[in-house]
Amino acid sequence: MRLLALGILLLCGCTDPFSPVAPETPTVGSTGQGSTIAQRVPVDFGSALDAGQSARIQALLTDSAQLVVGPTILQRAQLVTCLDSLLSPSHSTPLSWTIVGGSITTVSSNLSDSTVESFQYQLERGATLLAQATATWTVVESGTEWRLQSWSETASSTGWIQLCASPR
Amino acid sequence: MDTVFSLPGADTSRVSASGQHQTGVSTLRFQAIDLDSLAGGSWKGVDTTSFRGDEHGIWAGNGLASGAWTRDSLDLLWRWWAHTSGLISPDPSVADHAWLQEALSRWRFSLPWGLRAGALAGALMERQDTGTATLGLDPGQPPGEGDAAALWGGEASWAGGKTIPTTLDGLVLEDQGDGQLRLSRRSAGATFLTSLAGDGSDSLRAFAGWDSLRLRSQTFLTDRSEGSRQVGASWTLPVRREVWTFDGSWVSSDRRDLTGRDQGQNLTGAYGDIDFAGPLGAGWSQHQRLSRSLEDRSWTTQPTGIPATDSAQAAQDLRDGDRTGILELSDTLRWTTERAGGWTTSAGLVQSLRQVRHPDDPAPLATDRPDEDLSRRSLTVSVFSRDWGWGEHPLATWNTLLQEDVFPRATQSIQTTRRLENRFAVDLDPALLDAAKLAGRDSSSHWLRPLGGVWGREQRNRWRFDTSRTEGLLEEGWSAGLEMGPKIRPWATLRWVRWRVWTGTLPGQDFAPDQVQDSWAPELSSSIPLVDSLVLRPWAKSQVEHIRIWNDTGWVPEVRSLNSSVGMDLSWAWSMGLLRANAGWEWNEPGWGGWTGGFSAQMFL
Repeated sequence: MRLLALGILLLCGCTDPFSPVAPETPTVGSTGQGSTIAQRVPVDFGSALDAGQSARIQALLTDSAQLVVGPTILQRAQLVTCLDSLLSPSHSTPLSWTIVGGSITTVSSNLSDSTVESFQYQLERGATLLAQATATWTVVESGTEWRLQSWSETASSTGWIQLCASPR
Repeated sequence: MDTVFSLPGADTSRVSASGQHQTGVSTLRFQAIDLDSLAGGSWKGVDTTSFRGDEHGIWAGNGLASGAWTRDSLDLLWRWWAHTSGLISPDPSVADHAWLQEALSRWRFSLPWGLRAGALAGALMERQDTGTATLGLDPGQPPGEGDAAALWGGEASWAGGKTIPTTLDGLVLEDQGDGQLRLSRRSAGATFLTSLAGDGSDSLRAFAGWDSLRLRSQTFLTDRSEGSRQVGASWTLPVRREVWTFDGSWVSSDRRDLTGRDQGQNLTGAYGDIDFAGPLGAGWSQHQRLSRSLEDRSWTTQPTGIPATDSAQAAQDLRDGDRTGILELSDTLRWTTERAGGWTTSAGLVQSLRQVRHPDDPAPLATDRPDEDLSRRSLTVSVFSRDWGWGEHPLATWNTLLQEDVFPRATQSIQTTRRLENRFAVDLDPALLDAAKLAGRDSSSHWLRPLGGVWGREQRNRWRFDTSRTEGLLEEGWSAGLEMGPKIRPWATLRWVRWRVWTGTLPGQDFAPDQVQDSWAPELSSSIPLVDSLVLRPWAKSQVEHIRIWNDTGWVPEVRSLNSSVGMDLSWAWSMGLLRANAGWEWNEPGWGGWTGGFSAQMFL
């Protein structure tokens, strides 16, 4: 019986049953460049838009991020396509994102890893106003970083959704 | 069998009281236990009451009084639970009070073949004096004012078996009423004890049990059902000079909150241990233990009646279900010598892997409960001394820990970390005490004894997929002091503790601290015998913390805090009891200051 036990222990030593599995490579939406605090997410999103950094914007979206405008829902892939068309190199004039009044209101959340924020924004290209609306963002914490999970707006002719319907 | 009629803790007659006041919060607790003869039978009574007053002076209390009387084949039991809240509130309408009483009788009798049985009958009643803040038992419904139910049931047990001593027992307790107040319990159990070798050199104990509970009560604000089933066995046998133990068990349990406030849980678990220990000769000994557990959990949320919400929650419950496996191997090698003060050196290697998987969540979101592998390898070397140390407390310890926390799935693997930690501690208090003894003086009576110790810790944390993110920590500390007077009760003890913690990042193999926490903690205590066993112990202690931050050009003082307190304890022991009281003053900068105090008294009757 002692030999059996020693055999088991030796086997344990050879196969190393205490070693963890190898992790998968992280998805773009989960890597390194979320915001450090919840209130920074709209600000960082705007900075990335202004600088034309598509990868940075994607890093601020969770893998299941979505845009909800009334009954219309755009999933992450559609939202990214929409953002990419806005940031297309064919545009010579960069975008300009402004949070009106600079104020972001934290609405409510009963979860420690989720926050709901509301703010008014304007998106311009040069002197042309592209979009203007009040957005409600649900941002979630993953690890030590915060990302956009859900972006909802009431349907309007100046909201973000019309940018995705006819890219400009 | 006697779990229904037993009163835990009722071993001697005594009364006790205690109270504490700190940071504006006060607590009071009273207990009385009475064991006596009454009306030709034996009586046990226990009364426990506690109160808590918050910083606004509003009090709440809980109480449980129980009494059990036994004579011949008749048992009577009475229990009274009560709680009250909102006492001495500026708004009396928030105050509420509730109580629940249970009365139960049992008539015990014998049946053929050595069976013992009992018939149970009783009643359950509760009353609620509601306040404006009282919650209803069912969400959205007003709280009930009270209800009653009848209780009835039976129990049976059997003990016997010459070659395989066996006990079997079962209980059924049912309620009868309108279903608003419920207490129903069913259980059955069996244990077997035998020796497989037949000569008593080994022992095998096997058990099986089943239990279910249904409780609905406004007083306890609960409406739940619970059940569990378990089987298991433990076999201990000698193998040459060693003792081997094999343990195995299987458990299945379920829990439902019928008010819908908490998630219901189903759990199935299998557990196994192999343990062997024994001497190796020449002062060496070994102890090995291999443990394995496997648990499956699933969750159920009570439907709300809103289809969209219920289907989303059901999908989430399904994704939350997990399978958790833990494998742990602990190897310990010890060497003991009786020479020069009885020294023992121990080296222990503990390796473990905890794996969590969510089989019904094939595409987890970043916010879902993560799959995780937590792998730990820890090596600890300790030195103990019988004459120079505190016995089980080591004189010196070194520990190295390697921990890998892996999140396998792509949406969560960014959190994967690796930690390397080394720590040591040397506690020289007893060694310094006995240095005097080694010098030929009696350390138990000489007037001045030095105290001392040092410790240190370093920790490196790295994120596998975020190489820009690292964390380092370095801690060093020491303590020094003096004791005056007899060793058993020093007249005065002065101790000074100093420790510093550096935290920062790890560029390459270097450590770049960006914050230093520097702390001092002087402490002075004294023991002054007054008369008989009345002892006064004045004390004072303080902790000063200084934090500095590196701002790329130099160290900048950022935060300084001070916590100090001064006070005295009084204790008095006599043949029938013990009395302790303490009072002090505490102040914090920045922060709160105020008086603290407490007392405890116990008297045996």
